[in-house]
Amino acid sequence: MPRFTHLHVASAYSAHYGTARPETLVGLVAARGESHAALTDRDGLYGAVRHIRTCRENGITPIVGVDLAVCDAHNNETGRITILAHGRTQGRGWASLARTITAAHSKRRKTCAVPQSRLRGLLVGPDGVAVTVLLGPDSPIGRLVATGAREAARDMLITWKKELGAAICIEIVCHHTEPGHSRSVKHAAMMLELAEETDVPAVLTNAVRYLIPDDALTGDVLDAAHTLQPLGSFNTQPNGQAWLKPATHMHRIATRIARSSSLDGGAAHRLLAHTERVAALCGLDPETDIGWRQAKIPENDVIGLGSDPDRVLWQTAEAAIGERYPYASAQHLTRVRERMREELVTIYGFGFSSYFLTVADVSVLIRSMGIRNQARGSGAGSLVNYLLRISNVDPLEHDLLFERFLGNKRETLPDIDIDVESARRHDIYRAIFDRYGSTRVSLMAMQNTYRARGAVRDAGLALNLDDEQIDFVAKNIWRFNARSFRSALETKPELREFAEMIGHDVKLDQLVDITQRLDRLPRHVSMHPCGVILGNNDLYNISPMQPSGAGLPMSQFDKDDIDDVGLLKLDVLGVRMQSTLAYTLSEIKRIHGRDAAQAGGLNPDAPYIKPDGFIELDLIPHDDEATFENIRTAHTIGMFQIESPGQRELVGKMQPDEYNDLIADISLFRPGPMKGNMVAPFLDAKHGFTPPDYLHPRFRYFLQDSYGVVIYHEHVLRILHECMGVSLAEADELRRAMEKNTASIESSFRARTAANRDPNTGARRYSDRDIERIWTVLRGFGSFGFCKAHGAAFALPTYQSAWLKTHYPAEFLAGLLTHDPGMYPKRLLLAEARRLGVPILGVDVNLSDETYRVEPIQVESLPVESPPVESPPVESPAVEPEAPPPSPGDALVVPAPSSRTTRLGIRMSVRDIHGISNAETSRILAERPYRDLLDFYERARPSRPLFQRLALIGGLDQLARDEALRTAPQSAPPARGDIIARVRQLTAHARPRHSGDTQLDFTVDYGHLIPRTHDEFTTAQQIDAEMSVLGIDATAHVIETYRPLLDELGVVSANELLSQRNRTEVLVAGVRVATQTPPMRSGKRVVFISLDDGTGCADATFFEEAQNATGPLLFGTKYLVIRGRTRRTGERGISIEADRAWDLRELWAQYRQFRTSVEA
Amino acid sequence: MHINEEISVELGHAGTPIGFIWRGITYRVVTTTETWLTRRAWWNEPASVARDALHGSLDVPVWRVDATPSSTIGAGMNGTFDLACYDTPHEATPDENFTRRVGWLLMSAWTDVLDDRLLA
Repeated sequence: MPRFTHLHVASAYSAHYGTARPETLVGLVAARGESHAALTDRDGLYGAVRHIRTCRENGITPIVGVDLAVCDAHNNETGRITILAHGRTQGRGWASLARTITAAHSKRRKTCAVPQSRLRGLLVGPDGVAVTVLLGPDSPIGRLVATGAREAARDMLITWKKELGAAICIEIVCHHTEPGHSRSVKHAAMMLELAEETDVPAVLTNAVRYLIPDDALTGDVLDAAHTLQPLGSFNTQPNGQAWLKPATHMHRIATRIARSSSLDGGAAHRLLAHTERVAALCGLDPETDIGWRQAKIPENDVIGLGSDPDRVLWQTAEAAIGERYPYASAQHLTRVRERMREELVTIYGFGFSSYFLTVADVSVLIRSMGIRNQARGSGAGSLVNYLLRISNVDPLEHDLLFERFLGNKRETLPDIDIDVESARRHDIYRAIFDRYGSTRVSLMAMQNTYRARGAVRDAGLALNLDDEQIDFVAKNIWRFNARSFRSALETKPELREFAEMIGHDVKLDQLVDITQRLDRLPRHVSMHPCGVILGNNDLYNISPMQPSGAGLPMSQFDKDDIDDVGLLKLDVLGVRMQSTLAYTLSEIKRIHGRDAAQAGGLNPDAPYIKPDGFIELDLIPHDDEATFENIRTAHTIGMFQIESPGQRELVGKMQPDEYNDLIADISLFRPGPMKGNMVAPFLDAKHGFTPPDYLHPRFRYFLQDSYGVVIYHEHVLRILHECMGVSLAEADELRRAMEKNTASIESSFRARTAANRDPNTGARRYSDRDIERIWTVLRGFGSFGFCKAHGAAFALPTYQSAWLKTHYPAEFLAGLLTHDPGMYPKRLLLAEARRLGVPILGVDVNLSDETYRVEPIQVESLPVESPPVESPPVESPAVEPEAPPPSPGDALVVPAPSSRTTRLGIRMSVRDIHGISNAETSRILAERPYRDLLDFYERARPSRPLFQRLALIGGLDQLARDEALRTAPQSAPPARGDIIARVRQLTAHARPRHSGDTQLDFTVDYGHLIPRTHDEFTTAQQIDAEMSVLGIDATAHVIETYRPLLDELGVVSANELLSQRNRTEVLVAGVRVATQTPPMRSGKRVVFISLDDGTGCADATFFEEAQNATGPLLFGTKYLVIRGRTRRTGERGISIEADRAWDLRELWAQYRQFRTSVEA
Repeated sequence: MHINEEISVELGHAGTPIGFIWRGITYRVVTTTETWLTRRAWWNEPASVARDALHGSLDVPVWRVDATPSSTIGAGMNGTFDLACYDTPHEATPDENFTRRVGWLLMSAWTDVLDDRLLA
């Protein structure tokens, strides 16, 4: 069998170029019985770690290199070269490679390219070179050869040889292209002649970019996506020869090239032999070349640990016990110390002490910046994490197991994830860089892959379809894999129209196939939203870096690579809810100060409220009845993780009354438990319809937290531990084995449980019947259990947000509006504020801030709530005295608002005004207060459109009124139309200079010129203006615009639904705020659509028939009318089983037309 | 210059073109200078692009031949011609023999006469 090593291979990690995954490429090489496999992706090592991993799994020696552009002194690209790292050089070759790639990604150049002048410095070290540089057909030399300039090419090659000496190698590629062109036989032959003439070694490659010939077509589409041009309008690849050809093909090519050249008969042999010599030279030893799986975390002295991190860890944890358990009994403290000791023994055993201390160090750093943080995931199961303040969840309180986090078997560092305020995430990154030194820290990359919509867009571009066609298809693609596009056409009603079009249009047919081809290919690399990599001082020798959006260097490795290269990954995830909570707390303190407790209806002596009004949110008690009562109403909008329509339904059914219920709720609301029907038994037992079934009396003590339903991994660990007599750590290993293959542990489970006897009586503890029952539950549990530590950590912000919404609704809603943490549009949050009786105060240039501010308001200035649309123009939205606060949708037991003496409103922010720039925002805020319109225009210097938009939405109303009161006190206050006219006047001329010494300034007094001839806005006009300028209907709900039609149709409002009898036919109307296709037990697709009509949310369920009846409106239409039957889902839950939906705006148009024709 | 006209081709025992008829005139192939591969512009064809629909490849083999008209009657010209063979068998490379040939296209022609006309 002839051998051949492909030295130049691009995988799909060469974005918009390669089509095959490294795993597949290596798989084929292994199947051919080759000994080496190379990966040389474009611009980086994005796929290198998985390449090495797959090579190791297949017993193949990995070769890694990079395909890089080179540029001249003016940053003009002159060609591409391939650099291969030499192996068994103690990492010298790999480090050269990594550092050269980092240099190529300089921020100074627009594209990735390494200056040719820097190559010598980067590649030639004191110990010589540890890389091979391939100069192929696309290199500057190869390009010259293709133009026929042989002499110039030879001179250039000699220069390269002087610079890089033995490192260079000519790369011969033949793709049988048109004679005379690059990669033709002749071109290859001339390159080979040049190499022999100058005594530079040559290798043969196939410049591979796909696995098999068929992939060439995918390559065409990627080229189109890369150039952003349709196929046919740029130079496509000359043919489809760049596939991973077998050795026999490559040998034949070598012979053909040699024959076409003027060289002797041995040339082909020399070429192939040298190719294998280079392959041998570049074979990497992952252990010694990159320290495979060997931890490289910051050196001890960097975090000031001294020589004994184990002792430091023990001392730190011990010292924290008093702080964490100030009131604990001696007995409890003994339990704490015992648990701590057990955990520490495991941690010492792995040598992870410095890792825990490093993470703790980062937590201290974040806290010292005054930023909220909270550990997430299985790390919450560790008491040591709780003591080190990495986590705020007490594992003893919730019966969480350390073994689920860190068992006995583990080679790599456990994951500890930290949630922080999203708004300050970048500050934290910078602080971490400062703390550990920029040579040890980087951000992490994330590979974005093609999903259906992106694939359709790029495929559409390649085929030159027009934008409307592409939009039409993309809009109707909803949550399915691109690779199943064709089968989706047959089953999804929203694609019905498109499926019909395909029959008549070949291009659309091609679109479907191409979209399927693009599925899951890496599309582009971006910054991972939370990953920070910590390493030792060698980090830059291991990982190439490139600039990131955050302005800090980013490693080219992604989350799956970090373990293998031995780096430490810290997930510092920006969570908007944490920012929301922080903002809410700061507003409470700002508005109430020392009266904070009273304002929230709380005990003034509450230990978690500081004298200045700051609330220690992590210390609030977890059994606040008012909070649970509020959650039980299912009005959970804004509450972390329980606000989605599906969750509202579950919460309504569950009626949680303790913290454990929240953990269960979050753990149950996932595909597995929903499909596994764990929800119904839980609810039945909780509500006392059936007694809890603990499976076995010995399980009662740990199954009580879930009424006997096995929900958590922790439950499974304990069951295996009790039944089989294994340790909890072993039980976790068994659980992991079960996740992969449930049957794998069945026989040992049965045997060991049957052999489990009471040591005193000798009787069996578990009868055969018991074992049968327990096994059935374990098997059913399968893979969809949830780690309770995850749930407990997740439930904390859920509870905290619910608590704040209950006690401080205005402050909390201001936080929601400012940081926008949830799934719903701001419009719906405003609707929720209205429902809670929190007045929304319009934009006012003298009062509005960059954020949504809570504003205490005098009763006489309360805004009018939603005047009817057809009513005559009202004076203004804010003058009717003694207006009663709008009544909440239904009774909400909140102690706080009713006991207040002053009312709190929320002032709209200037930030949401369409088209406002940062500079304009800063100027508006900095120059306040303003005296009159002219003053505002001069000093805040808004752009003309911004000034007009402000007038349109009433942002200048108060200013104009004050001005009018001064200048013309006897006239009526100016109407909105007057103010708009005035702004037009002012903006018609060039802006007056404010320099002071020009005559113009005082000769023209604009003050008297506010006209008084225009109309006030109707509410409909006002809403219209707000929707177009802010995207938010602040004055009243946008649905009011359609009121006459809705009344005629007899539409039911969302807050009236609960009073309807079950199975009543109803019509609801509103703005779509959520569309979900959650996992269902039956496996059939069900679409949930939530409409907001200002009184709340109406949740409608579309089963198959209703989906068919609704067709393309299902996902694309914003304003909907839905017909269906009510369906009770619990004491406070109701939803609509839809039978079809209409486009409200279409109905409105028909209605108007009808009315007009009748009136005419 | 580009011609892109359908022609009929006569194959020799090795499966390579030995003659062709273009615009009613029969040409004899004198030598085959090189074989090479061009490609389909599949986006201009009513072709399916599902996996393996193009018989596994978008390549189209081309014979660059020197040919001369078989009789001196008529307007034939000596020259170099690119003969492209569409509908290729699976995984064709120019090194292999073809067993199934369907459509032939005269892609390009270079002759003194054409050059004269172009430059005139």
